Amino acid sequence: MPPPSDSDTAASAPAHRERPRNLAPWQHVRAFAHPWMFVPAAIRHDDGWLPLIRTLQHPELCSRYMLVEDDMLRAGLGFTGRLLASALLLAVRHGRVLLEVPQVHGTASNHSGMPYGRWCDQPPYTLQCAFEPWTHCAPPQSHRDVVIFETECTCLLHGKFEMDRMPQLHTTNCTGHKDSLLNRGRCLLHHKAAVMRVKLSSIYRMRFLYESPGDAAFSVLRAAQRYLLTPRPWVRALARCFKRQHGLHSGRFLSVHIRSSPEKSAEAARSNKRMPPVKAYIRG
Amino acid sequence: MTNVTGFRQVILQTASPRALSEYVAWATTANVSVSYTENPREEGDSWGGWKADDHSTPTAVAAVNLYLASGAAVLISPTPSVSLWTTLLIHHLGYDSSPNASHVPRVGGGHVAWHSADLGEMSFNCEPRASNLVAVVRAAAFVAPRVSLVEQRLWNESSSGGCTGRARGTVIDSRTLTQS
Repeated sequence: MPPPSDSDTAASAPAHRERPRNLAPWQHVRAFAHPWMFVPAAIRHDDGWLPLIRTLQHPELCSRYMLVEDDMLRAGLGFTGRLLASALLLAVRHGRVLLEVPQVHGTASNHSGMPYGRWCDQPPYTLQCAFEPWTHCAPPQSHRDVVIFETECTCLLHGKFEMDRMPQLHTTNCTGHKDSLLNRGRCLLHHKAAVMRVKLSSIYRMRFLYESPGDAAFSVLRAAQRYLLTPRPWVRALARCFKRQHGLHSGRFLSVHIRSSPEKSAEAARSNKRMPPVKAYIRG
Repeated sequence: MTNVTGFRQVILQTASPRALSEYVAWATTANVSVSYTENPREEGDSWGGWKADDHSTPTAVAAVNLYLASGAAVLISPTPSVSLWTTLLIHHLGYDSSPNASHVPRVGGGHVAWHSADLGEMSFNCEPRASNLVAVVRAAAFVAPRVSLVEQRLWNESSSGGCTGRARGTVIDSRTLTQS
């Protein structure tokens, strides 16, 4: 089921989208339950924070960005979605628009320098092939200053944003540094650069962004994931076709997800866990 | 599960051809209709279906399955502790995935009557080591029978097999839980 190459994909969509008109009013959140991410202290159930997240992703003036490059080649969509949700909550907390950009260096098998997307083989080479665009803001122009945040420690580098030539990074290992968490926070919170480019693997290394985020975070995380992974119309059309073909009606069927592979079993075993065998799904 | 809920239609998502084969074989004998997307499947995968030479198809399959699952009455999936895809599915069903839901009863094995005032999420473990499945039930799907009855039946069904588990919701019959 490859994504169709029609007007439904970002590949042929206008490069510059219009700001949606039905956005929720912007509001200032004063109290947060997380030091770095957009986790308001006031818990709103039932996706209560989703409209504000959407508004924050569609500012009137597109001036501050967090560009995320998905280099987590061996992470599934579930884990990737979890990391991206943290990245989104991090971005909007700091007044930045989160925008996914394709990899530019590619993998070992792709040194062409052409854009590379592990989720999609065609423009825009990102998750936006299948899911709705996260913002109307166009990618920043190549001449703008950009800060690259590549590790959890020494992370700041001024350079120019060029798709085919990324500046070399100077990284140091500060693992175990007693002040490292604070330093990481400073990197993320206080930098004034208009554009910050982050590799998803850097989000992954900053475990404080997604491990034990606190109870207040869960409803916001849900809203973030639902926002980031809203299916495009062609996905919904395919699903409706599937349901018609199989005589399925919403709310009248069971959804069973069986996760089973030798690699996944080994991964679970390393955590002293065990993947459910197929018979458990049948018995359950 | 199909007996408990009364539904005879299942959308199955799996990247494993063996799991698909086993489940379909069981469903045939149990008079359960199974639907699934037609796409390449392999036993050996680091995660659910990613291919080095084709990125678009697995993404499309995942997106379609995610959307399909969001309309289910009940979701059965490995617990989020072993599969973050489950977290995603739960979120798209409209539930939070907090592991720290208040008033979560933890009970031992054996047949335990379980009641709750509202229906949400329960997980159960039927193996010696942790191999949890989670069941997330959409309340709106069950006008009759009442959702709490479905949840109670689910719990009784799993616990009678020696399973252990936990569930969200307000426990009405705490005396029974104490006896366990």
